[in-house]
Amino acid sequence: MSHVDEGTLHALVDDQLDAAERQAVEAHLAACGDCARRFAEATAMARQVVTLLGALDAPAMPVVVQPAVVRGPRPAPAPAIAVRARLGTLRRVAMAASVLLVAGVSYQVGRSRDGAPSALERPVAVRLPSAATPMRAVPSVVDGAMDSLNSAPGTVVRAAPRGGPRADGDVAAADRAVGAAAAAAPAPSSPRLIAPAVISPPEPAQQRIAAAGAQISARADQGAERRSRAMNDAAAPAQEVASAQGRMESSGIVVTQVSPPAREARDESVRAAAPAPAVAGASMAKSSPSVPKAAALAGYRTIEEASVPALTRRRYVSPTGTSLELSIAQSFAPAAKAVVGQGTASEFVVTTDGGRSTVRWSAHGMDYVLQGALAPDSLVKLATLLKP
Amino acid sequence: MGLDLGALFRDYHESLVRMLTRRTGDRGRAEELAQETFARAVAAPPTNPRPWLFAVALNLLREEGRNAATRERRLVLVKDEDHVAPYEQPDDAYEREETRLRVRAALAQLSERDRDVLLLQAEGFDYDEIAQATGLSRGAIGTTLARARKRMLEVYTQGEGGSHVARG
Repeated sequence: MSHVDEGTLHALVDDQLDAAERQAVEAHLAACGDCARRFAEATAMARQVVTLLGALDAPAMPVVVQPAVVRGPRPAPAPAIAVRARLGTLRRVAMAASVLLVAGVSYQVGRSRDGAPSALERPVAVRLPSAATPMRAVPSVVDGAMDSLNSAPGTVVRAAPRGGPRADGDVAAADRAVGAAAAAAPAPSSPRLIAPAVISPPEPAQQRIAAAGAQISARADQGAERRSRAMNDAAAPAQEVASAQGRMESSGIVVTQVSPPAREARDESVRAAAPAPAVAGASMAKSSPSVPKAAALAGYRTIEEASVPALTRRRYVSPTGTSLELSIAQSFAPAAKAVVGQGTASEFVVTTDGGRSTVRWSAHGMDYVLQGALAPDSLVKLATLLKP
Repeated sequence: MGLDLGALFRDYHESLVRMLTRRTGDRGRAEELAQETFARAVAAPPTNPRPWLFAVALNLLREEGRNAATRERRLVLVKDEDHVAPYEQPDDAYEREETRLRVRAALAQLSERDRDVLLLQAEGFDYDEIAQATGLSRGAIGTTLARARKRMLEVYTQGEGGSHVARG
């Protein structure tokens, strides 16, 4: 009786023999102790390899995801070039002692350690400018910065003077409120995650904001078990968002919307909505040859609760002293990787965290925070833009 | 009908990134390769997606390795710190990292082809799919896996106790 060769044994372990072969081999194993032992060894080897390969993967970590910022269609002007030209003003803006306004309603979901979604699903509120802020120019500049950055929908930029308004009572109180709510979520992940700050707006704007925010958040709260569904609810009625945006923009707030793909039949409507700047990736198609890839995929991003790799921090140094801190988002967003091109040599600190990219940098007396999923090459652009 | 990119992405992206991460040890690079792979699927929709995607990804990896210019485009790392996951004890993190390094070292001892076959099988590919993705004959897959598994475990076990991993 000839024994079973190793390849066939492993094929049996992997259940890759056809019925006739399997029958013949099993019959032999029943009669041959040596081969039976080798088969047992092969089985154990296969199992052990699977376990070892698993060690190369990320450990599961608690995830707090801030998947969406709501943005309506952009106002008709603000072509990419004009907006980019305004980036030159970024420096001047930065010098102003004002809080940069970025609007958004984002949905924060706490997840427990074992991955079950928490009950926490709520809109997180909005940063608003102080009265002194040049309200129109600044958000447009920021928005333009975002546009030229190949960043995926949902990217938000905030800035504040160092040691400035963030120190004021309203902000601190709002931060505490947000932080408390986040802490209430089971097993929130790293404290490095950005909890969006809330700053009380000037009185007249506040009601408009509250109304718009309530409108958006009401949609999100409507019985949505899955966050992607909640966001699609927010995303679908573009007109409502547009009017919300209108109200907000009159206060200098830019509302940014992301349209994650529906997992089910809503793909159609999402795709239909995709050409709108509601999917920011589409609006970026002009800016870089690599963007079409991101744009092609941008409408199909799925917000998933993925395991988070171990936190990795990388530092990149700029000869000009510009420093950037970057978190690489999770792979569920195809545009979620940030790559630094050679030559820019800017300093980035890269942290892998909760499904989001976060870029922090300090320049000209301002601290900037950029959050969202960054497409490849976006850091190249960012570094280029920030070079003084 | 056209390619349902969303479905393709949902079905295969995570697996592809996982395989590429295991293959390269660099999640960022894995994500970039996966994105490039999916972009190519958009351009030339495959009829048999899974083996096609993985074959393209592995080819891209090989091309990239050969392309010096691409290598230079990579992140210029000044400092790379591995941080402990917030809930994890530092010594657990250390042990995890040690295991990871040993596994990576063991994988590195395999031939490229053996390594690819091993990783594809770990992603649930059947032998037909592995054959399609790698260009090997189906009949050779079992033998390849037998050799790859055995070698990997040999090297890994030799690495135990911090001893120098034998080459060979």
